[in-house]
Amino acid sequence: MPVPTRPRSPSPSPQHKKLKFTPVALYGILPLGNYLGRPSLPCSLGTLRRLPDELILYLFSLFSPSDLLSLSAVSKACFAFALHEPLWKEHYVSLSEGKLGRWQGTWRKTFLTRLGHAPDLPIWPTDGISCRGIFSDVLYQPQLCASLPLHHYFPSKKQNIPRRPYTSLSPAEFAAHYAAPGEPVILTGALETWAAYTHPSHKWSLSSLANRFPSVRLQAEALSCTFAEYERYASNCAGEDTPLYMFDSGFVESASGMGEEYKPFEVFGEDLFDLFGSERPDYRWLIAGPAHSGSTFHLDPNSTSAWNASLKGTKAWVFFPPQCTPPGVYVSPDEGEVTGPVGVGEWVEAYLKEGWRRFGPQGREGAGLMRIGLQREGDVVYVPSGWWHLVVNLTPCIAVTQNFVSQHELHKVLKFMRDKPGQVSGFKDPKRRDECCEGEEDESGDAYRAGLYGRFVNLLEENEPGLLREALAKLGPVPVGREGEGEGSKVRERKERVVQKEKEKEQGSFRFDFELDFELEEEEVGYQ
Amino acid sequence: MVTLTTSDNETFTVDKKVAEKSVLIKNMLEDVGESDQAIPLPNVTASVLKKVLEWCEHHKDDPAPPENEDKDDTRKRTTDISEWDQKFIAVDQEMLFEIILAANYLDIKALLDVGCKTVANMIKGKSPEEIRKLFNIVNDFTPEEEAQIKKENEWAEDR
Repeated sequence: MPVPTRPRSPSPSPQHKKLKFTPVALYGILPLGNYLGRPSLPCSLGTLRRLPDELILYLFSLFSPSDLLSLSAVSKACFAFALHEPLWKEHYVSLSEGKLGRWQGTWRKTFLTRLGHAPDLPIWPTDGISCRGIFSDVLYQPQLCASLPLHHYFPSKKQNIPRRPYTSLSPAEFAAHYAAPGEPVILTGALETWAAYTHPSHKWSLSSLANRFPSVRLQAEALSCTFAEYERYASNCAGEDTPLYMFDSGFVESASGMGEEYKPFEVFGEDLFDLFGSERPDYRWLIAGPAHSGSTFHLDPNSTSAWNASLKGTKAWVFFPPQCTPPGVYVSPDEGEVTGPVGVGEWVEAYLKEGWRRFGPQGREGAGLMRIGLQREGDVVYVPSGWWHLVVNLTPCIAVTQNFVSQHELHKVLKFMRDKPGQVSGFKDPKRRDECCEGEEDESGDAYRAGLYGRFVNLLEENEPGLLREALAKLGPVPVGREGEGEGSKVRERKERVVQKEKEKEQGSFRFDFELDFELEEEEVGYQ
Repeated sequence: MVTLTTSDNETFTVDKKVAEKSVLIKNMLEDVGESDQAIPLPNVTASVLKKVLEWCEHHKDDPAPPENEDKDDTRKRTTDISEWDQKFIAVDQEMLFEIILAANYLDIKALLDVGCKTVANMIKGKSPEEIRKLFNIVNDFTPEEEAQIKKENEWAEDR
């Protein structure tokens, strides 16, 4: 079969031309559009060519690693499909016993080194193989997202989140302008008192933390790793369209000293979930990730608010208020199920402009609803309860985040716990912990969750009666159809939670949920 | 009853329950409501639709797959095709691909799975040369490239 001999360079769309952007074409694979006008068909798929690329990828997802390797030796087109990284990531995650280990630049190479017996090589024999002449959108899309020039999407004229110097903002002012109305804000210069940020030798970076805590293991999505292992991954993962994101809720307990090197900000007020003691959901995370990592649109759990402090690197934030679902995101009527683009890059590429046109400062459908801001090193972002947000790292980042319930969001949290008990997440049922059985999504879990609202009210009654009264006054009636809800609706809600989890598993996306660590422990699997 | 028209202008009249194994048809019926109008299926020929409807008829009473089914588990067991389905899908390669494409177009997930698993089972355990023969694939690697791939693949073999 004739193989094209005059390869074309990518022909970027006008938008890309303006950005002077030529995506990296891995192994020379190009989008289908580049095929137009070519004289001959690449036929190295034989009769399999009858299937669309999506189905070929699905077919390839059914193969074991050794079958994928055989397929990679069949022809160039088979090679291109058999090297598709998401297939290898899935195999690696399911066979690596939940450990990242020594990263080799791609999931396939990491797999072959760890689970086969490939030597530890900087350059591999097949690195030079060219797939020029292969045109496939499904194979090209991840490469496009991985090499998007993200900072071009966030110019200063498209930033409309206020920036306020932390030292000149009083708690009363913060409450009046931001906490009470629920408005995002970026506080600058807020980390000057943090050893984690200012200490000459202890300033947090992956390499300084790797030196200080060589054996501490942290969680990066489905895989656990040391700081050193993660640093090795993060510094050499340019081909990843949705890089593995370190999001660890146990760092204060596992890396002794880190907890003393940062301090929550008084301006945000008390955290009323402390009243739950050891049953409270996880609330603090160490976050680290390379450029292009991030979290897609989500709402923070249990209607809590959060702050996020960047110790290193620049993050772009996109917010939509509670009443405005971001374009490209689909939500079930009770907000229990969220679907949208798999990666942050994918959303930015496909929907950012549309969102700004519809909901930006001159938006036709809701002027000023959409908010964009850049969080630079030393800045703290306030994430008000109920706001949709997407975060993407424009450079390698390290941050700390904490979720909390202050007097300002207390009524929203109470409303959530009362009206959506099936979606309450992260609380640590003492009974469930002891039993630690698989698939404990049973009636006792439902009953536990359903009882949390009443217990929170009682705890507040004992300790903060004034705040409770204020919050209850704002709470409003139980929505129609929820009153006296029976077992049936609880079962339905549980089902929705399960569906959401499955969706997230499918998408392989990062999932912001208090239950993450808990579940991983229980099931000891969890490619999510 | 629902009437379907194929690309080669044959019409089939089947039970609504059978036709609704296809999510595409199910959604169409929901959107359009009850109607005597035939539903055109311009991407499917009569010979293929006959096969597809045979499958739908046999599986019409299957319960809907549970939403929280662990996909990873069921996926890996690619040989796991029921006896009836195995007999049903024992067709030539041409028809096999036609059924897969029709199942994809008509959105019949379970039939698509049967088809893709069958192709996967044909490939599993075969050498590259055997796979080429099976699908009439041309080897377009240079000898150097072939050697490079062979070298890497040896690293994966059992010690």
